[in-house]
Amino acid sequence: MMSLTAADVDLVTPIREFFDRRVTSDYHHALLSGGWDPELMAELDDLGWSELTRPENRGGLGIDLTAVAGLIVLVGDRLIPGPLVEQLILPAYLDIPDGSLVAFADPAVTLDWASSIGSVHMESGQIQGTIELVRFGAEADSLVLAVDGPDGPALLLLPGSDPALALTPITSSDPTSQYVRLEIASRTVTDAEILATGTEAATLLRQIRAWFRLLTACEISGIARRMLEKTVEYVAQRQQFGKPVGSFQAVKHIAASMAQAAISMEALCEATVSDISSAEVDFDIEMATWTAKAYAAGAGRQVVEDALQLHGGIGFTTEYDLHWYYRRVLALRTWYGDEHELHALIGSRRLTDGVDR
Amino acid sequence: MPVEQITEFAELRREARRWLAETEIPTVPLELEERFNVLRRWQRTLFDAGWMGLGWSREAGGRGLTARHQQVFSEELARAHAPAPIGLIGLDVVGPSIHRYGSPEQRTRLLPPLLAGEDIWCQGFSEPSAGSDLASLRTRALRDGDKYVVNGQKVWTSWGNQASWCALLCRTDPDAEPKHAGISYLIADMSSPGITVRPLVQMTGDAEFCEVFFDNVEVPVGNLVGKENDGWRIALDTLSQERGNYAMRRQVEIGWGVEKTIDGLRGTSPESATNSRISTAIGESHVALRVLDAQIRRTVQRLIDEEGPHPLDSIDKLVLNDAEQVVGRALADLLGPFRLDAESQPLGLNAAQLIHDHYFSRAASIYGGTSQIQRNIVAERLLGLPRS
Ligand SMILES: Cc1cc2nc3c(=O)[nH]c(=O)nc-3n(C[C@H](O)[C@H](O)[C@H](O)COP(=O)(O)OP(=O)(O)OC[C@H]3O[C@@H](n4cnc5c(N)ncnc54)[C@H](O)[C@@H]3O)c2cc1C
Repeated sequence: MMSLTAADVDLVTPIREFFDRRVTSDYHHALLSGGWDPELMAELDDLGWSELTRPENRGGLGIDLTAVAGLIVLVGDRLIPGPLVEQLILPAYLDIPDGSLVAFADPAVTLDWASSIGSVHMESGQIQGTIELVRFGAEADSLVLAVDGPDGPALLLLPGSDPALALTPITSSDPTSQYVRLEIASRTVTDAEILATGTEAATLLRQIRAWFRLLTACEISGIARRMLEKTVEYVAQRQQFGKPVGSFQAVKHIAASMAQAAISMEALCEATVSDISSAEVDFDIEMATWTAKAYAAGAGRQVVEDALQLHGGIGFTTEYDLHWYYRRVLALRTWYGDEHELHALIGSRRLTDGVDR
Repeated sequence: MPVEQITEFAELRREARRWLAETEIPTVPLELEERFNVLRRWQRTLFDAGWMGLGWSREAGGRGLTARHQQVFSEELARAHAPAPIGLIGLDVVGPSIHRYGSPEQRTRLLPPLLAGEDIWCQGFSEPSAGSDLASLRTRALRDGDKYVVNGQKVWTSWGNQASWCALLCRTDPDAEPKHAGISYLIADMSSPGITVRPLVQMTGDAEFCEVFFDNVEVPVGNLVGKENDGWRIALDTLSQERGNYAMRRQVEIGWGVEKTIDGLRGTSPESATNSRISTAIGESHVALRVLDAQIRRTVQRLIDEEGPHPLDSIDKLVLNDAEQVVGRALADLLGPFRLDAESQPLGLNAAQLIHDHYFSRAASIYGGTSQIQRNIVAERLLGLPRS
């Protein structure tokens, strides 16, 4: 039924086998307590993770991002930490050195909180500013930075270890990612560090952000499917009043609603991926990815909340693994917009441009 | 999907777009009787131009293509802000079952006038004491030579007062165990002596569904669909038709309502794009419709693969409920206190239409099997949870 993964089975199978072998239950626990394991990331990279989407003329395999969506569904399903989405999206669009782990410092992860998240400004080759939340900012080898300047946006590639970038770790509630606050008092940018400017940068940013939204929705969709399966297994065996709790209609109906949310989320991710890959001329990719993320944010939270409810007390303990999934979904739902922010954005676009998807 | 197929659909899409651009798209009035007439004429226009029953066989008056072709055309209707054809129950719900289970004679006799909008159909399933528990229905059909004699009562029969034909579930074996093994699927001519129809007014103000009384009504044996006492299987097929065809229709209709609302807002209140309450309602509606669209695509694939009824149909029904109700509520909420004045047009919104659609959306979780019944099916048959 998980057709997103079924479609790209050649890509997904080896990675799934790798996770089966490498991410044992105890290790998973340790991994989630620690935020991530660079060694695991390196092994994944040896398997070719970040080469997948890098264009052939830059030494990669040049696989379309639509074809790797199933990998991110799997990452959600297995709850694997690390900058996995970053390592698929950024090399696909930007010229990033081989084997380098990259973070994306982008204030556009939120619109409703834009006035609080900050921004970095570039003028006459100098940058300065603050971004409050950068995922994997401290761990990455390099940092892709979205800045604004007098001629519109620009994309820069900076070494992560640069002393002019003050990185302050944040105590994160997301079990699968570390975050930092980035502050740049003043730094000169060399021409070599500028990846794109002006309309080129604006286009790249639109595409990259669209993919962050869509792959984040896919990750939530993978988590939702896992939560559904786990919950059904649990309520079918847990006994109260002399029978499985899953035989009570009140419980069944919550499980059925979880199924509805998980399955429709999958269908939407799949339809979005398919529309992007068959790219009709008048198809609005940005709008479609806002839509997918908006739905995943709302439906994803519902599914994990229901999963917690149906597990009763055990789901609330830290020994059991539900809380990891719950916290991850709460983190992902805000990243590049929750349903509230995106509904307003979609609606106002519909009311101005009248695009119809 | 093979390349030829994509090209074929693209061709159909172009053809549909061209035709829709050249054709006068009717405005659909709110008042039931006028609405009915306008839509019936529209269906005739569609039929004459070859757009009806794309996925139905040629003997049935269709074009012998697939459900996916039908879907492409539905998408184009929605894009052109054009209404769906009238043949609601016939076209989307009962018709496909007759197409699948009817005899060749029944197909050629009954289906072409259905497609043309000449014959309206109704679905006589529910009874006063057999709603969710449909298998307990009591309307009797007694075999008497080459006819059945029917006695009993149906209720909530949509379009009963307009219909020429009724897909009628009757008990032909009162002693059958389980109860559903004694039910047959008949086609009754609504002009037969002994049928009395009493319209019931719905919350929307429309007198759309009816009570139908059967008093020694004679139905020829040739109007039995499938075999005697084997009607339940066909009834389940009919109920599951809600998945693809009916959902596609509703997608067009709901989409049409959203477009009209956007047009109204843009024309009268250009500042609405910056009002977060308004843009949120439009955004929510957009997302709900797109979720429905994605779900229907999977369903259509299952229809093309000729899968019969499946527990996933119930997921489709629940997704449709949500789309109806999210959109119905979100748009009507934009009226605020102007909801009280059904003649008003606050912000360019058509209060009467939005109120009507909002009320109608509440029926979505009731007709065709309530959402509680759908969740029972999902939990037990899709998720495999133990029976209560
Ligand atoms: C607008 C509209 C159009 C309709 N058109 C037609 C038509 O054309 N032809 C036709 O035959 N019928 C039609 N119906 C009837 C419809 O199919 C029935 O209303 C429906 O099946 C529910 O049956 P009921 O109304 O008897 O409710 P009941 O079955 O009495 O249900 C009452 C409540 O109890 C709940 N309930 C019942 N059983 C269970 C259970 N086992 N578990 C949990 N909850 C349960 C229901 O979900 C509901 O909330 C239409 C209904 C509407 C509203």
